[in-house]
Amino acid sequence: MIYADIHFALLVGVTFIIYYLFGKAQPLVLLAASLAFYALAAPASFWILIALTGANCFFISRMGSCAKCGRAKLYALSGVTANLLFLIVFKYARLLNSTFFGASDDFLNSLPVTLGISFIAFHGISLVVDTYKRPPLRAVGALDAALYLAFFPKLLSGPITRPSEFMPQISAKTLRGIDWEFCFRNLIAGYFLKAVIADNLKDQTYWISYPAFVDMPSMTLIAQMFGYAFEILADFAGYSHIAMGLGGLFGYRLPLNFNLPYIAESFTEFWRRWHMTLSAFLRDYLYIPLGGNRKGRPRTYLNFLLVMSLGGLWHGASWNFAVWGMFHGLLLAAERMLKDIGAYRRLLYGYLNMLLVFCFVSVGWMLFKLPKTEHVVAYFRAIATNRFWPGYPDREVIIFIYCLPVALWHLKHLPAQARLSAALGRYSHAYYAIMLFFILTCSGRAGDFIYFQF
Amino acid sequence: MIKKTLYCTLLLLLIYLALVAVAGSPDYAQSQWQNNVMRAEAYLYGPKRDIAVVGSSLAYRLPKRADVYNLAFAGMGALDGLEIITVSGSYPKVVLIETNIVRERNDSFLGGLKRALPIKRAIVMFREQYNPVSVFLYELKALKRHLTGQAAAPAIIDETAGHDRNLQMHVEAAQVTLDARKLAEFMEALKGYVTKLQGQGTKVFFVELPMDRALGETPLHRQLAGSYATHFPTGDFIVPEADFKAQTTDGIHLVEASAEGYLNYVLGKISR
Repeated sequence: MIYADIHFALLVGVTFIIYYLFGKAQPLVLLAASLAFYALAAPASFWILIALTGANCFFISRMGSCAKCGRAKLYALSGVTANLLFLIVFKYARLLNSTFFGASDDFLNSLPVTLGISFIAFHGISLVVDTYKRPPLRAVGALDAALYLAFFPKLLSGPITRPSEFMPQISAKTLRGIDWEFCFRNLIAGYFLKAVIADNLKDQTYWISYPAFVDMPSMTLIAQMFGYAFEILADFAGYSHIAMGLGGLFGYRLPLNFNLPYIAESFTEFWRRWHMTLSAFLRDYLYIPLGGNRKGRPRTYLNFLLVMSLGGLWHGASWNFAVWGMFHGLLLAAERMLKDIGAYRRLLYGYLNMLLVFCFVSVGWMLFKLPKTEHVVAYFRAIATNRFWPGYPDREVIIFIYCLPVALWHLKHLPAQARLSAALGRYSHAYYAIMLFFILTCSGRAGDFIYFQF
Repeated sequence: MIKKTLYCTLLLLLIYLALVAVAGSPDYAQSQWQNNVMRAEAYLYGPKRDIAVVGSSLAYRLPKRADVYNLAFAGMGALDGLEIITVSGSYPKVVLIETNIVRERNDSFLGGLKRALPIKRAIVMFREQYNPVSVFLYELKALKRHLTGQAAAPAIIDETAGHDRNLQMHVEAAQVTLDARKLAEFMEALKGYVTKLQGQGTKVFFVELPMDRALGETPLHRQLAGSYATHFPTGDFIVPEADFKAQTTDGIHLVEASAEGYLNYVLGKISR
């Protein structure tokens, strides 16, 4: 089930009506709808969600009941371990099998790949750690904790929400309390990014697959590479906006996950703008506990590498994701090193930096798109060698057309465009109307969100 | 803001509806998927045809003609085309079924078409043919032709680049036969459609498209040929004669000239 599916629309519609009819049972209604959503989206792994939710509820209830018994730390550690175990077993079993046993272990191969397990497990870790660190959270009941873990708008792909952000929002909601404009804007922007931009670009970047790209001209290969950079942004940011809009319909504010990442002037800034809730999670639960930047320069660079490599591997059960993470870790470490030795300069008001960061990030996405590192090497070899081949101008033009709205969305927010941005703000209804028009007439082939595989 | 947005959207839709009414019949597809949808919709909402071809990307390459409607889809198979003929209720006099590739029915593709059937039948603007970006690109090409005073020269792309490597991949893939149960299910589904077509007075031909000789003797293709012969013992089969000269891009897909030549060959066989 995907967000453009009629079954999903029905589920949201029915839940919405029941939710506001039965005010006192709202958390229960929302939890039931979330479980129904997951059962429809991933019936094979439904019981894994139930088990993981149950385990997390158990550990936080134990922490709550022994505030002074000194075992809270033990329960917190057990909770983190349980979440990591679920993650390893139901996400990485096949990777471990192929890496260590030549894919020969039938049991490991038979384990179901659990939809959204990365997000569910990270929410679980956040729940037990924050409950341990912030004793007021220990008063949270099992129903609220289960709702926090399974809330369907964010269940499969985030945004990764902290208990301290979510729990205080669990209260009686009324129809009058809905911020309709917020929901409308986010849903329109989300569906436009997903259905019009990402789904149409997907049919052009489909050709970034081995060996299809080997005989393609350099210009087309470059266009496809940048096209994929816009596609993955539109796909994931689209999902996040839809999640925010849906959350808003039920009276919940989910955090912003993307803030114009392609205008970042440094790699550090990029990660503050791209998948912001994951970056914050990795910073708070991994980078800082590892020592962050407090243990000297070499250790800081090593922490970047380690955190980003693990963050990369979190994205997918394949070593190319770890390589992608390591690539970003290296960029972050190199950037920090240049700053540390005073060699980091801003050129051309940062626009050159912006371009450089965007180009590096786009190159990095090839590690995301192609399943094997040798295919990535072959892709760039083809760019280098197929320079004078006649191109596929139509594909290049189509990619340009669909990238343009996302590029304009970014450029509108550049500091130099502040006046333009303010002026356009007065006519926001016009560009939301244009987006809605294109959703109705120009949606591409509906496909799963790229991040659903994580 | 919400009301204003909805009014503006309605206005845009009305303007576009008026533009579509005078736009003629653009036929620009941005992608393989869109091309498939456009082919299917043109059949569903278009006039009755004498001859229809169904199959995969191999038959997809057979040229379009006034008397022959190509309902073959890249990335899909014969069952999809047959389902569309059935849904449309417009049965041609002759249906040519490609036998080279066996694929399950693409229910997600067909489901999308069926769900949109009433609205797209009523409001032409929502058909894939009138996707605004496709119409824009179509008009842009027309303008370019008008300005240069000639047909736009297609980019000279060597379709046969990578022929040997791709052929080798196809040969390797064809060493593995299909699951016997799945193949039997396919054949049963095909038989159901053929019976339905014949019940409507449609003549059915099973057509094998020319492929590289290296593929003809692979286990997969021997299995397919055997299965067709078993399930359709009285079927009319058209196969390329041994001396038929055909060039492919990758061992299985015919180049334009060969596709044209083979369609003539098939039509000649039918008329006899």
